Amino acid sequence: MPILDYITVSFLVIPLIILVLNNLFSKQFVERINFKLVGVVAILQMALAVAGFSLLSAAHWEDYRFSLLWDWTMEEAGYFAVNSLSLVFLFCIGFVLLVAVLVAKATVEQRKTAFVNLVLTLLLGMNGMVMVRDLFSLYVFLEIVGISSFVLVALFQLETGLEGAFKYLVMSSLATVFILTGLAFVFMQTGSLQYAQAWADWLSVQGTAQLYTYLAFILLISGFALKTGVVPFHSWLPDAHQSANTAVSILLSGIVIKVAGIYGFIVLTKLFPGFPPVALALRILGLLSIVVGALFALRQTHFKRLVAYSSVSQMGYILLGLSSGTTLGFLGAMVHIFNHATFKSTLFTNAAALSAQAGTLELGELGGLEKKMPVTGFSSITAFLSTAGIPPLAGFWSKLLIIMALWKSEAEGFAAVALLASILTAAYFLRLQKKVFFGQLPEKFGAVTEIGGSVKFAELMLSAVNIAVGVGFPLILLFFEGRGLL
Amino acid sequence: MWFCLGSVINLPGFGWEIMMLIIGFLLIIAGAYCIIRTYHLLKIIIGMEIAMKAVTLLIILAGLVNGNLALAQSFVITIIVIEVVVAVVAAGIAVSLYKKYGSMEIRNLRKLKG
Amino acid sequence: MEQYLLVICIFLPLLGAFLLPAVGKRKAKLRNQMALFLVAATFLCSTFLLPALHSGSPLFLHFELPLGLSFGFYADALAVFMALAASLVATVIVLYSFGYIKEEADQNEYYMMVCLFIGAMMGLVFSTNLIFIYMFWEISAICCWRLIGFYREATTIRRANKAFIITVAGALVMLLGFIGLYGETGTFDLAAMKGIAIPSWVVVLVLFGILSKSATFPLHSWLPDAGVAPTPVSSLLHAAVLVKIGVYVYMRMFVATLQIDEVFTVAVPALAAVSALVSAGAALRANDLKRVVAYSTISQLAFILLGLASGNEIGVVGGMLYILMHSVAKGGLFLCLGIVEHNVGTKDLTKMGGLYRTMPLTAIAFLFCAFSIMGIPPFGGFFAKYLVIAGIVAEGKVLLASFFIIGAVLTVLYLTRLFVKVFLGEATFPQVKEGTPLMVGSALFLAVLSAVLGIGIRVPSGLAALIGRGM
Repeated sequence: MPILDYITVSFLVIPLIILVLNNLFSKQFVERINFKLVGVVAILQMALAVAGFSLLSAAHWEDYRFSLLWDWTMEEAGYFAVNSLSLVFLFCIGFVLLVAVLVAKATVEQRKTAFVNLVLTLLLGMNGMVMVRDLFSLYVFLEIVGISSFVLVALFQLETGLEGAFKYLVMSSLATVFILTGLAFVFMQTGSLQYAQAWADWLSVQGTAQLYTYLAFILLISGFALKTGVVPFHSWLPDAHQSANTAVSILLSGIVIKVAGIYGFIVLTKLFPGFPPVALALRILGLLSIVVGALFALRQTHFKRLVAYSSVSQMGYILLGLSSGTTLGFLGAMVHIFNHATFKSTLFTNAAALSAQAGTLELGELGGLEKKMPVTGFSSITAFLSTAGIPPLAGFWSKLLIIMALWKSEAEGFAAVALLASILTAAYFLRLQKKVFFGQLPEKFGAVTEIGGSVKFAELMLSAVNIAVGVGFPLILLFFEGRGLL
Repeated sequence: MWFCLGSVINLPGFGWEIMMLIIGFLLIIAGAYCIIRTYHLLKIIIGMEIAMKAVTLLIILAGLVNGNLALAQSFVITIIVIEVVVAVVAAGIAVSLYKKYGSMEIRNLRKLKG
Repeated sequence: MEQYLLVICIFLPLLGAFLLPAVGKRKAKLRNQMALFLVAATFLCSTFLLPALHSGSPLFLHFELPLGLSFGFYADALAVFMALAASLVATVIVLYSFGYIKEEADQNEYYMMVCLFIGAMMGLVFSTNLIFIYMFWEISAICCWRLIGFYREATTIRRANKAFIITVAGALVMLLGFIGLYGETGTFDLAAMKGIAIPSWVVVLVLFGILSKSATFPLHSWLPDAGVAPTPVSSLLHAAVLVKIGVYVYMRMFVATLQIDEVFTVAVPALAAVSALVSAGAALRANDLKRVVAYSTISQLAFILLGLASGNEIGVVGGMLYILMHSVAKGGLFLCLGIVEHNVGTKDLTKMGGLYRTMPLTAIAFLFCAFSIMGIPPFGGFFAKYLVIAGIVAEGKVLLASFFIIGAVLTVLYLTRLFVKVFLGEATFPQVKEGTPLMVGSALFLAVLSAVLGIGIRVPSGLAALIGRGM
């Protein structure tokens, strides 16, 4: 189907073309249009992902393989492929990118060209990560994602940004060491790193060589856990997400940790099928993240740092969903990835609005802004309720699916703790609401007004998505059922 | 000693692989130790690089063991290229920090806490 | 095809609520009328559900969803009874709000949240699926959070957060119970699990949610604190919607649908007895007008729970009647207190006195409502209280019954104390005027209604008997 060829290739080619265009013309000219171009790329990516998804399911294909310039049908040749999972990820990437660009219009004032270059590289890296079909290419694209993220965090040369970027870089390169050593063991045992090959050969490994299986497994888990920022590997995440420009925080928290980390875990669960420690490790990491992340979030005094810890906590739910090993849990995790992208982007967008209008993000200095900034207040409430899993908002349904899946796979204790930990989420967000939007309005904020333009639009759009997914979720369930997933 | 380990873990050959493996791990540990114990930005970057070079050693070893050395070599070359980029970015950040604080001391980085 | 009535009943207030702020931005008056229309139309639609009910074929809607979920509404006697009681009182409260809330800044949000609250209540009572019950339950928690914190002062925010955290924590434990139930039965649909015996740990988990929402000991402490809300909101919480949700879910799940262990016919009434006595004692000692009445609500809720958990038909019918009578009378009581507190400007009992001279109509309305709650014939509360106690005595649990009779006596004491302190004695605020005609009228309406419901007890008891028979 040639049209599918065009669609899939364009996920990699479009960012490249725009990247070239962005540097081809004079800076004055480029900086007038490049944010708009990235916005168009984001919308195009969402549209292409939807189109690809419907074509793929209309043709009843498991996946669609393609390459750029080489002949992938040769033996042992690497190739790209899209399946429904990668298309869902591609859609989420486009969605978060759109929000990030809308916010960047307000928050990025200098170095626009550099910013756009890096964002496009990041996009290329993420798109590549979810489409490759061997572990080594996964690593290559992971590094592209990583390097562009470090530079994005450090881009504006603030002391905090440099500090966050350096910590991020060091932890990330440790993760790389872990992942590559794990890869070396997988390679040693199977002689190939292509997913299909490695998965098939891995099962045949027996006897004393199982020691290597365990080693590779521990190393890969630690590596991807570092990239996701789950407890106890989380130390870099709040620093990087707090110190980055808010548009960058949206990208990092909304999608990068999921593509770089969670997607790695998804590959892992397929790499070690039926290996009991996988489920156990994911569960323990998930539960630790949920509880410890929420407890840390309870005592933060900086808006973005609190929200970053909340990301740590929410990643735990996704891991728990993956750990169940059932389709239901997997669906729950996927829906939670999308929902988390929505509500976390909302919260960071609120941070952008607050720092632009009130000039600070310290919780102690803010207060009483509900009347002054009604749209920001409203969207932060929808995001908070969704994060805490309170119906009828979107977050409730994904958490419900995850917890039902855990319960069915006989991890009742984990399900119970994960569910009850939602109360911690509610608690830290209530604290946030109280400190920022309720209470006494400090005198210096007398003249604060609601933010306008693209940030307001982003807030409204995200709240609408959040509510619509929550209220319309029965339809989504029917869709899953129609595809035979439930 | 290699021979003892070689008989425990059923590898082809008589243990030089184990030796390489252990050297590789020792190098990784050395790199990690360097990252943890030093308080100088550049020394941390050097530690990172030591660990990465150890990993390339392991990958070559893996290629030797499974007989797919050509593939392993191409992996290693790619990794080296990527590592150079990471090192450059790291050094760039370190230099910017040096311009801000006037020293490469890691204990300057105290702005983000909690 | 009369299902549209059912749909209107639920979605009119639920969706209409979101129009109110938009309307209110331009025309405040139109918004008020619209809010009244939404709630009154809900009440009317609920009454239109009665004919189908009496003809023996209740209206229902049902859509199957995967995973044992289903989206459905079912207008059986229990649901219609609750809907009628809630929407009737809510209509009066909205009418009263016109006077009480008119000086406040954020009326758009107020009316929106009130309508949403009623919509959530309607959705909850008609839903046939545990997950959707949970959904509406949490919507009510959100409304409650915004309304208790309506004045946005440091204390009100803290209290609102407290109420939210306690009810949401209870609800999460309840959801865990629901998921446990799903693990046992493979469905969330109430119709599909009719008559199934369920393990006791599920009951305990769900009870956490019920007790937290219905403010029963030991999860009651948020309700007295929630008195910082505007008084019509307190009235709404205590009388019409919020606290009755918990006892409704108890009735729906453990009495009307599932079979639970015998031990709960003792354990739940025993807990209720503790709750009744502790809170009655607290009501005797409290010096804040609204705290007294809030503790009284906790105490009366224990009676309702006693009736529903007693395990026989008399008790259940009594419990249902109690829900109605308490809604009407407690709603009226709060409206009276609202007039007093609004015009006097304090909530401290010890500073008041002799208000009957300046507020005679309010005093009469207060007295009527108080009589109904005390259980003095021929007011409605008497019949309900009698049936509840008769139900537990018929089960042979005389000791428990005696505790509740002590509770009833205490009710008489603290309400009398309240009346004496506020309305009798020396006049401390001679310049205070009676409330606006609309406010006093609404309070009087509920007061008279509680007398009328007592004299014409046949009408509500007919419906309640229908519920009892349906068990």
